[in-house]
Amino acid sequence: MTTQNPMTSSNSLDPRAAPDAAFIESIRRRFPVEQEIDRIMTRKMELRSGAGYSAIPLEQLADYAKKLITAHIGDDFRLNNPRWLHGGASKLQMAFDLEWRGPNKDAPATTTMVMRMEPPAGIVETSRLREFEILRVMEGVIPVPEAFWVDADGEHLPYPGLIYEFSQGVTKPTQDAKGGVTGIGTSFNPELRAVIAEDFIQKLAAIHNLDQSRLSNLKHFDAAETGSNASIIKQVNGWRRIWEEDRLEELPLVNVIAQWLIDNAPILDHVSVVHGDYRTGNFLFSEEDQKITAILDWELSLLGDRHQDLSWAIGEHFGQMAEDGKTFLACGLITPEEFLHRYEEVSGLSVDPEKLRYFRIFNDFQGVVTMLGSAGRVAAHSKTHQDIVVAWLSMIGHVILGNMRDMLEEVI
Amino acid sequence: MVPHISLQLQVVQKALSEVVAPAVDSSHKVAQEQLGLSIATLNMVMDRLPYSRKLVRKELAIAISMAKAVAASASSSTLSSAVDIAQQVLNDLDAENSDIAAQKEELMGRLANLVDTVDDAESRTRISRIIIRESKAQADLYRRWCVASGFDHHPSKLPELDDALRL
Repeated sequence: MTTQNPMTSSNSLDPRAAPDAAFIESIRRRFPVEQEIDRIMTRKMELRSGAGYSAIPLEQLADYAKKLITAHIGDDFRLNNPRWLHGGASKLQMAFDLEWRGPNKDAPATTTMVMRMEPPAGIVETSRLREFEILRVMEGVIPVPEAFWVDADGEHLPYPGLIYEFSQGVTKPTQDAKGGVTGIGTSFNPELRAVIAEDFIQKLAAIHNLDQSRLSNLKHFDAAETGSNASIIKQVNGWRRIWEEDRLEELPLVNVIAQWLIDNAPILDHVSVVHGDYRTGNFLFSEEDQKITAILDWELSLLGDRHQDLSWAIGEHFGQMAEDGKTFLACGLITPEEFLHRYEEVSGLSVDPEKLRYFRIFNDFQGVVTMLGSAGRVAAHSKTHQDIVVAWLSMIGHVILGNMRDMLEEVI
Repeated sequence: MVPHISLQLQVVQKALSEVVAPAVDSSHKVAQEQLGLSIATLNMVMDRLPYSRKLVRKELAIAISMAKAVAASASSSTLSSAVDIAQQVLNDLDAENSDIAAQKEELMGRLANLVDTVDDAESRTRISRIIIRESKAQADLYRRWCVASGFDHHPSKLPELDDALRL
């Protein structure tokens, strides 16, 4: 933490502020990661000393969207009613109505769509290609937005982005007046949460049990292997690399935990699609039907261990106390114990307490790197369309760090 | 007389809250959210600004304590020398905040590098345990500092700010 502007005085020699090729390469060599992840991270560093985010007028953004759509289906369409989408702390999102011939080009249709783009730098730097691929693979398995087009390198759009169908639903009950940052502190009444919790668990089980034959369509995901811990070690390297690239200040505790995570990396027993951010705030539901209508935000998805999602979902920062003020509800829906027990029943997959603890520490490590490393860095470089939100969110990093420290005292 | 910083912050906060906020289009959710957070951030700055000097000094004190313990455990004379220099800066009541912060960063950087480079597993475990133990004061301090964010579920378990900042 600093009361000083990180972009001035003592940080003027910080190689992270304006990284050269040698600095970038030295970090790449130290921390081997998945191939597509390496491409994205390297791109981030190469663009770091470039322009910060400048607001793009809606009409101009709509023109960019038309370019992308034209490149795929020609010009037989009309793009109407472009509008900003609110919510989320990392991506630029514009909704619009597309009058076109439909996905099969066989009948006139009007489809509400979302264009989702990276700002010049996000608090989580991810691949639009991977996001596009995972949405395509999950179609028909669980409700996800139908993904239509992707611009992986910003060929048509100002930044990498993708276009998918707008999904109906809400992320939180309309009577929840707290209006907090997405997903944090959402309240469900007892009747609603019983129904949503069951659906939440069913969907997660389906994700983790995805037919292995479909995984070959995930061309930009490195494979994971049972009997090995190589995939989780790559993930630890990834977050350690992000820390090295983004941090504004040193925190030796981060180095301690990274070493522990490598030394204690668990062996994978079942390859699952891991959502990576499965929680309240990242699903839509219908208040009328009380059903989940879409699982969103797949940008952190990967192939790996289901315990990563399980531990994330029962984490303290996405939970909420029940009306009695004593009972903690994971994601504001269900106690962690009930959640895990029901998950085992529905999925047929076991829950290993030791792996849960490992991933609790891993998830906290990821949270600390994101909030105390990346969030501060992107706000300092004025890289997003909502630096004030990012800077505010970064403070949760200290809560996570404190909890992580307490856990480490038990395990090291 | 120049406008005091606290007065400037106060009048900005009032203008945003009482004049600007009511005029912002309620349908513009992004603007509403960012204005709300701007006001909340200003409130936090106004509250914490009087403690900023104490924060910088306490951060260095924590780093010195951590580095001293690790230096003793690892029998590291270079780390001990760095601790001595940092202690001199902390003892100098005229030291600039930037110099104090630089010493903190120097010590923390040395500690981080030590964790990454020590080969012997037993030594690494010993050093890790020291860092974990010594990090509690820092973790509690930062959580208390940021308590106005509302993210902490257990603020009552944290030391009061004056206690967390005490050298």
